[in-house]
Amino acid sequence: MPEQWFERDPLWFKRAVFYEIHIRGFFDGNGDGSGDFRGLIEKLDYLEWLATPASRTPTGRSSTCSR
Amino acid sequence: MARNAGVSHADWAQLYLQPLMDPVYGYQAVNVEAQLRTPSSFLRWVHRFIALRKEHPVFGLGTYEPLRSDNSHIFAHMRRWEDDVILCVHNVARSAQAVQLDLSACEGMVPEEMLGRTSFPAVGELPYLLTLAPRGFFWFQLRRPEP
Repeated sequence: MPEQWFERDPLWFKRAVFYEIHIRGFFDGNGDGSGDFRGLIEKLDYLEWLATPASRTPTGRSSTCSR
Repeated sequence: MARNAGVSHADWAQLYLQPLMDPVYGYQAVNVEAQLRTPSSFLRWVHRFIALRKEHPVFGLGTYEPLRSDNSHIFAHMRRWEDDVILCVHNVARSAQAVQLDLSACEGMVPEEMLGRTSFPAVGELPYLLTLAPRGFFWFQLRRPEP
């Protein structure tokens, strides 16, 4: 069995942001009144925007507390 | 405004889930188009928070250390991961609150509020005093002062 990507980074979910979508209520791609996967695909640009940091100028470095 | 709040081109009666129509939360008042135009909107807030979380893995990976507080309405803790040190202070009361936190382990550090990037007074020897609005909170990144 080839190694899976999550085996190399088992804590991936701790860096992730999850977005739960109710497909039937999200976006209707074929006009039948119910949301569908085609509709979800049409809204990928929106989801990408939501997950993309707004431009922000980096503000120097941080450092650790002395303990 | 697009038909059915832009969710579907079908007739209203055909919709699996009809958009809200009430004057306060209905789609004519609360919608993505309007929220994108409004910097203080919930959508823009969520966008900023997703960005903040992605920029600082400490929120997922960091250690967690609750802080003792002299005010039982205030929930405060530190998060640390690599060089990132974050101080989170939350007012869970529906009234304004003041709190004094013992941050002596971080004396000399400068708390920088993470959403507006405003520097707060440096941590000194005395307990650190903060005042919080009702249900208000602060997330600070603790930084070494500029030389």
